[in-house]
Amino acid sequence: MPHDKIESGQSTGRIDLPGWRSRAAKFETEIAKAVVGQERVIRLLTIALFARGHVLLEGDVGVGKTTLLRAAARAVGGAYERIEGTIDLMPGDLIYHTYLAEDGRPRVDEGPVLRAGEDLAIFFFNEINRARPQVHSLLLRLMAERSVTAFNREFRFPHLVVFADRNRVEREETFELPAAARDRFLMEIAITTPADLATRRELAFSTRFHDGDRLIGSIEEGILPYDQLNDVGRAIQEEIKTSDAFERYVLNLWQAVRYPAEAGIQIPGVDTARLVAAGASPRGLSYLVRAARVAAWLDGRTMAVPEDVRSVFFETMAHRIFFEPVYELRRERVARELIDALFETVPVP
Amino acid sequence: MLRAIFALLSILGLAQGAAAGVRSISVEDPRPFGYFLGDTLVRTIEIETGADDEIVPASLPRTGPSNYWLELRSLDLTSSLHGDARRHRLTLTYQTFYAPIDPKKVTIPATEVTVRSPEGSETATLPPFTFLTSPIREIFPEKSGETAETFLRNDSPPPLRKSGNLRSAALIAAGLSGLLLVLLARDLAWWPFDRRAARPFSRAVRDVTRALASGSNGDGYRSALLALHRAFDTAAGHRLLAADLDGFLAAHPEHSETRAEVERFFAASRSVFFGDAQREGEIGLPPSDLRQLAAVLARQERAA
Repeated sequence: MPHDKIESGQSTGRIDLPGWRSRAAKFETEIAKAVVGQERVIRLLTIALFARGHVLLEGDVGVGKTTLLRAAARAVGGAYERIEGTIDLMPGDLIYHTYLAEDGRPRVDEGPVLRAGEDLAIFFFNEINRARPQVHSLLLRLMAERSVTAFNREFRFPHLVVFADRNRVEREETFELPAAARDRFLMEIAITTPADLATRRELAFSTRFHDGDRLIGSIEEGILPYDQLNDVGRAIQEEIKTSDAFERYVLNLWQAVRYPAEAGIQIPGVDTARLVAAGASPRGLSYLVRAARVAAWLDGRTMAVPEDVRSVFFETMAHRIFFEPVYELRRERVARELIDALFETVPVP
Repeated sequence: MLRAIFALLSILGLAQGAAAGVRSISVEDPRPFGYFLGDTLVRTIEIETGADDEIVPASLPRTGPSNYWLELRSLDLTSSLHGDARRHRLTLTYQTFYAPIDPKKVTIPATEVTVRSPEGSETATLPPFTFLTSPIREIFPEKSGETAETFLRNDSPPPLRKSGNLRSAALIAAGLSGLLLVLLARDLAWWPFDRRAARPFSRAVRDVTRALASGSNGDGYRSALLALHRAFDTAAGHRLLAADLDGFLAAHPEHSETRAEVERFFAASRSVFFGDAQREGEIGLPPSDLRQLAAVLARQERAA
């Protein structure tokens, strides 16, 4: 597990989990002030923060992805860096900053990733699919090991969480994320415009949303101190119990999502025997259980139940399931139907 | 001289062409012999008149008995214009009831019809018609050994229409309609395709009772919970989680009055299966209550 490699930033001792739960609730309400009508996305983001996983946000242009991430970064505190994905961005641009100094000599300083040192809490990669595969592979290491090598030494980022986003509108001049990179994200969250009319009206007419900086500035800083989240995350995983029945249920889900036809899953217009080509990795399952435990904890329970798995399953698993090419084109709909059918089919408990 | 005669003829011809009133009467009569009692005969009489003339309808012979042996069955009058003349075509159908002892000539008497022209009325005489009618039997048939039974022949049987094709078509149509009706009934889930939905809770009552009776040290209780879970799954049509309860009760309002009990069931099941707290579950929903819940749900299911 990645977080086992991290040296704790804080003496563990006894962690006040109920107190942290109320902080988490406060975190959610604060962010909901800046990003309205996205309660589920905010909940998933909170789960990801406590599960110490990286998040890929996906959505149309202008639905509030960046605002959400900036708000989360402010509420978590710590250093926050962002970089825009472009086609000519090279891995060196992430770690080095090269320029001509006042004395006219070229200088190399730390780039966005290194600038804040160990305090880097949130690294936000905007439009990740515009960057080249070389950049993706650097990011891969950053996400998986939370470290990079630069200036001939290793830099470690124990508190780092990577947030990335990509918009679904353009396909030109983009590089699809490799499966390995996608698998390292804990969640892939789709953000859509709120359907609720009152929320839409508020978004369109309230002057509050005109100035993004002021909006973010109104959020209380450091609600979830970034340097304690690793310990809290570990404490949550230890606190929440998973019973035999729960474990069996998750394993059944795993088996069924990999071999849907054998589990008796039927989707109209889809041959489920030839649907899933690969995917649902063990790492994905481990992430799923981690996220489910956090969901249970946020709900104030000490045991994980099937509802917790269901509440995070799509976001943690859908991007890890790879379909046969014929179904890959209508991936979104088929994935949704597969996962709906999965939960309608696999028996509980 | 010749020229004078020609001129005279021309004048006469012109005068004739322009004349009103009855110009000619031509009669088409049927054969004048070979009639028996009850035979009909049709006379067609064509009266040519001036273009503006008409036959007075009241002067036409009346249908019905003309005399004691003759009846006028029908009378039909049409008229059409031919040049400066109008032809009135009169079709008369008579039936004779004359029963002669030996071949005898009888006469349909002459009748007169009135033709009305702009200049006044004129009478056209329809000529009489004489025909020979014969007996159809001997005067004394008994002499040759015949009786009423033998010389009166049976009525001819009514003709039977051939209905083979029609009957086949009707049978095919009926078969096809029946087939379509069956398909329609199947589509709309009419009887007998409205097979009653399975009654999962009724089955669950038996399973729960059996499980509670058989299992020891908590296994029975777990099996009983599972049996009721499967019943909920079947009733909902998908796997029912505790969080889906609101939707289930909205779709199955017959169970909504036992909401509290059902919630207790899900809470107990959660403790037993996911909290590893068998005892808490059994305290929350004792086995007897579980059995009773299944029974209540089954009763509601039957009533719905």
